[in-house]
Amino acid sequence: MNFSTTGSPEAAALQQQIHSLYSDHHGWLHGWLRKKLGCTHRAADLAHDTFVRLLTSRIPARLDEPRAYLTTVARHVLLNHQRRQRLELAWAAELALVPQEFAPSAEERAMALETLMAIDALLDGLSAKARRAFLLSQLDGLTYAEIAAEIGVSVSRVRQYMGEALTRCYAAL
Amino acid sequence: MPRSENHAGGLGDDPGATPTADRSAPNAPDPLPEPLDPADPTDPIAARAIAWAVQLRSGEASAADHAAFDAWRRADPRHEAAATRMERALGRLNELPQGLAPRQAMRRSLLPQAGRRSALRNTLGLVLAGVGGGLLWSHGQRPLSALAADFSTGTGERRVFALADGSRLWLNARSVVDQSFDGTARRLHLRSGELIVEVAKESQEAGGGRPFIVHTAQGHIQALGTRFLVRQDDGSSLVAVLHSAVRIDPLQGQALTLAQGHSARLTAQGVAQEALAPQAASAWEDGFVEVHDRPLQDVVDALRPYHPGVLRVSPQAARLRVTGSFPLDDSERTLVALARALPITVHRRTGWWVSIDMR
Repeated sequence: MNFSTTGSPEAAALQQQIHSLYSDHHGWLHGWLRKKLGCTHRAADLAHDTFVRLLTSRIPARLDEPRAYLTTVARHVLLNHQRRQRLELAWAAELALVPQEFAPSAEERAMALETLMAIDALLDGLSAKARRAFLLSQLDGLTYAEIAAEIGVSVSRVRQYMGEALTRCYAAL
Repeated sequence: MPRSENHAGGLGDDPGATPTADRSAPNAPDPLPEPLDPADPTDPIAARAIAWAVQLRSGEASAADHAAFDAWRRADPRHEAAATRMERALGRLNELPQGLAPRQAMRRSLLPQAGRRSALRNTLGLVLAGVGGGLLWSHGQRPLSALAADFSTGTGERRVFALADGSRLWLNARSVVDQSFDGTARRLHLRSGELIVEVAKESQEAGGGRPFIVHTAQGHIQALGTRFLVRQDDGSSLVAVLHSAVRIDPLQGQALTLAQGHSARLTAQGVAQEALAPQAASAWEDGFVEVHDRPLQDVVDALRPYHPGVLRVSPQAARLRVTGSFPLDDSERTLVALARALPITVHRRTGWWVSIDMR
């Protein structure tokens, strides 16, 4: 496995740190994930994703409990994986009801799934009405007045929901 | 997750006044500008960029709003940076498939799971209750007159008729159809309501092979195969192909060949495809109205021919979205179930006058 990052000294140090984490604990992490998933191939994929994720995160310079740290990150990767599976299923089920004429291409489906993942992560924790308001604006292109009528709240409440959702968008980039 | 309410300076306030009215505030030059933390949405500049995005997506933004936003962006590189970040964050969510139907499918896949499950359970309960109650199909024994046969159904009545050529005709409640079969064509005239027809193929030797055509107020539909649905609505008609294909000739405009699995609407202007699954449209044949994220209006329209008297729905309630499968033969029960699932109340002034409004 080869990790490459851009060439600053910090990046080089991070790369070195991840290399030693990898050689010391990768086998153990793979085993931990296999027990959770019951599938060795998927466990290998997620172990890989866990290390890729470490590359883009800030690792404390000294790790006293490297395995505890790894499991925290791996748990996150695992949750994300399960969330994706759930969305993929829901998306496929909904697409099955769309008449063939209007069905998106395979490429569009894949792109849309990425967008679904991004939106789902974004909306996590928002109220049901705020989620709906944002989706009606973003996916259906409704005006706030139309959204207000649709979900039965005032227009200024729709603005407030949109403010919450866009604040998350802004922070999540 | 940081909250914006205390910093956004306008989110949730009087919407008209939000970004335009006090746009001078962030414009005031800072003597010692703090560096912008690009990730912190509670930063006053970030909060302003977010408030702008909220305003510009509202559908009510004026040309003056856009000009004021441009001026705000240009006033300070930190404004520009925050506005760009907001645009990129939203751009990330714009990888959307073409067309309304897939986007609605996306929205439904993102709806909270608990809501979906309970809606489904509700639907399932109703479906089972409907089957248990027994579906009453009266098989038409009406003699077919040689001159002009009228097929009709009353409130709450569905019937199947055998036609002279061996075709079958299903009529939904409160429907009227006239027949004119002659040496050259087999024609049905749908005066009102909804039909499904299963066309019998005629052999050439028997002097047959006559086209089978259904007429509505907006045009006619010729069978190219066996089974399709036609509904006469107010000012338009709906065609849904359940098997094979049909050719649709509107009174105005181009003809359209519509294949199995597709629906189209005929209006005075012509014919256009519609994102409606024929299997859902034809659920009445089995005694149900089936909708996937459709306005409540559609459910009420489907129930109306099964409801003796007036069934009224307020425009606001009519727009609520509904997914489910509801029995037609017990409209009272369906209304109770809808009132449980949606923010509506069902007023019964008398048994004959029912009105649905927002709660």
